[in-house]
Amino acid sequence: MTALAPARPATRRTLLRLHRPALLAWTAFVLLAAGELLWVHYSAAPQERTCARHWCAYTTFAGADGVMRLLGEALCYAPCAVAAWAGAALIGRELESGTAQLVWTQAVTPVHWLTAKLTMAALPLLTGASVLALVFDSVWSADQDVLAAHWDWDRVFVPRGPLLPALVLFGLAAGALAGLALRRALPALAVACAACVVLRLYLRDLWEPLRGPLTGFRPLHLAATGMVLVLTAGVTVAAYAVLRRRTA
Amino acid sequence: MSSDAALRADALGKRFGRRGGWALRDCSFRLPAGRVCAVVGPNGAGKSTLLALAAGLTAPTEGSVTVLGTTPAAARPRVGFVAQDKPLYPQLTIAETLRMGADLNPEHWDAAVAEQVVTGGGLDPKARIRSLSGGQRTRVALALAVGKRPELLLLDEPMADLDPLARHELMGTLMAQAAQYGTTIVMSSHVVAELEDSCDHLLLVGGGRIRLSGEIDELLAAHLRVTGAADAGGLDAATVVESRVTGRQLTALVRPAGPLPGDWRTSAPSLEELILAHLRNPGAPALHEESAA
Repeated sequence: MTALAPARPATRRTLLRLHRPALLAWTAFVLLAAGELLWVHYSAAPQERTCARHWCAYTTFAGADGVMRLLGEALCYAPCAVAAWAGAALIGRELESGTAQLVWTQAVTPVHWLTAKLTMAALPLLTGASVLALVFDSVWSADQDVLAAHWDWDRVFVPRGPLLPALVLFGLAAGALAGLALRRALPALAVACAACVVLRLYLRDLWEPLRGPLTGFRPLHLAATGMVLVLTAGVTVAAYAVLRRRTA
Repeated sequence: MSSDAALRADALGKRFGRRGGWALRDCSFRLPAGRVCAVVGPNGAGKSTLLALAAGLTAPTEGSVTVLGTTPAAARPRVGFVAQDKPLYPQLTIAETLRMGADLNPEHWDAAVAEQVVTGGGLDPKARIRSLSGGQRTRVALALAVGKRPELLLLDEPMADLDPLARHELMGTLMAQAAQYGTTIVMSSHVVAELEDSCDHLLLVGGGRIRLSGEIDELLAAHLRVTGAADAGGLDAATVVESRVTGRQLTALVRPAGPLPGDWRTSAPSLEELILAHLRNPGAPALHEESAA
């Protein structure tokens, strides 16, 4: 006898509703940052090329170089904000207040719950980070003449390709692991954020040793991306292991 | 033999942390399907741990628990659970909370019953959970659990913050569910009076162990309250749960193994007396009445 497969619980509507503020905030950040980048390319950079020929006054933060420097730093630390959010709001708070247990006593298994949460968060995060990386790379490549920066500086190296989405994914995974292991919002926020800051500060030590065998921006950038993805996979596996150990 | 057991524990134990104390240890009991079971015990006895294990929220440290003939994880779609602190998403409205219940419990969501529980309290479906009082939140949590139309309903201190009217009404709703669908209900409490009228099965938990388990009628029938002269003797054949001497008179709660000598005056104990006597005397042997099944 063949029974119909039982309907899977539909988690999407609930998750979208619960994390609507975070989705709006991330969308706003992506639009704002992309808008700034386009402003640099279409307004600030051409204006400064004219200024190079004539004389005109400009301030540090309004100039193309200043804005790119600021945006580069902001994008480098964006994964830390994602980790803080994932540790506190996505996972830690739910375990602390018992709402995760509320969902687990519907027809949703803990593993299904974690998978749904991570996927629902990863999709907009990956899309947004990829868009920002693409725009940053094209603006930086096109306007190098007015920017005082070298390709191997962190604030240029990180946001110019797939390394940025990879780091954002790492932030998500680190937040999930911290939330599941600590089961409280505030400690999870602190630990996940700290882990991301440490990775940000020592990121250079990951790819710098490869400088002999690999040369140029692309190979080194892709190698660094690979290493971050391996790290992310390890952290994700650990998060699922913690969840399985804790629940029946 | 276990096919009709809604809940069964075999040498079940749970310890929190590697060096922590045992919240529950060596628990074995069997709850037949269709019963309304009271889980009674003092604060910190292990009631909540027992219910969380049955709901599949935590994994046992040792032993096993069987729910509706399978593992707690596999029984998840057929089990309803209301935790002691009634967790709900504060930012959702009541209507959104019930819609979540419908989404997360495909194929067995009963919207009519859930809405009936909510509207019974005169609650506005558009009200946010964070604006509700403790008792009103309990009502929504119960609506979520009942709307799932579970075969086994686990309720941890469900009535603690309800007013007497709401308590009476919701208890009625639960009992109607149990009668109509044969739902097994397990509810914990430390207020015995709350459970006496509605429950037919008892699990007494004390110090992380099961002290009494069985049909309430049979447990009561197995015990006698006896009064007599302190030097009368003749109680050796019975198990003495508790005894107290005032002057020359001795009052005791005993489990008689056979007829007692005629000079003892006997009476049937109340459920509260039975429970208190066992809680006051942790050394008294446990009793598991299994004959009903």
